[in-house]
Amino acid sequence: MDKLIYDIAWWFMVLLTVIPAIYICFTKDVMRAAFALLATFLGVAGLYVFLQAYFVAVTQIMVYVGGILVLILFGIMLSVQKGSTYKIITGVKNRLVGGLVAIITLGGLIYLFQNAEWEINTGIRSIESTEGLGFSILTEFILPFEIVGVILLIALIAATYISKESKHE
Amino acid sequence: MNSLEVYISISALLFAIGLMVTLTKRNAIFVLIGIELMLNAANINFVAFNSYLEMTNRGHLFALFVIVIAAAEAAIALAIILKVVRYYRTSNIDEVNQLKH
Repeated sequence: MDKLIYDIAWWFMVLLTVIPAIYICFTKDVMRAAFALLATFLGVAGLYVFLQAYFVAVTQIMVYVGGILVLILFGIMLSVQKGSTYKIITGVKNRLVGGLVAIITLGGLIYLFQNAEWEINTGIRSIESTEGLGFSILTEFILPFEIVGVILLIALIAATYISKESKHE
Repeated sequence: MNSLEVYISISALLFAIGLMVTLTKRNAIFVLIGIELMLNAANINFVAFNSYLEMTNRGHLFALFVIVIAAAEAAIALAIILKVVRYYRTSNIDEVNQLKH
């Protein structure tokens, strides 16, 4: 019984990740694509939980859903022209070539890992601990951690500077 | 069923979809959405490989750094898109063909 519930939850997360992503591929409305992206992010967070990566899952929800998705929604709403409806309908270009490149990439990736010999595929072994992550960040990975903080600060200052109204436009 | 291959398959599918969205859509925000999908696919790979290895958390740390960089990238990209929309009155990237201000 527990196994059944586990399997149902797992397949739910997989479908929650994949189906909205396919929907993004075929929709023309940017707003609907953004909300489909919400479902994809939540599904990916669920997959992280099934991989025993709880801290990464929570970070995924907080940063992607709470930050990046809100930014994208603001971007959509601020780029609607005056007098039009909320919708931004966009067209597609190079559908044949783009689809071909995507299918070749997918086929190549699947061919590669089907023919690789994995030596580690014996079940989930390492269980993440938040304590261990914090310890690693502040000892072994202190330099990348500081650099990433500075990059984030610079990026946010630059974003506000770029998007401010200039006088001659 | 809940094995490494399945996670890599999901990741490959997400990557291909993100690539197709990035290549085919005309709107700049759609391109950004496609890039986010590809970053998520890479992150799934990092976390999955980490979970099937013994006694390490490098993959989780790398996934966290990728998430932070993605946030910075989205902020900059949307600022640029706003500027372009204000100047060109469109966010279709095939109509934006000069950088002169």
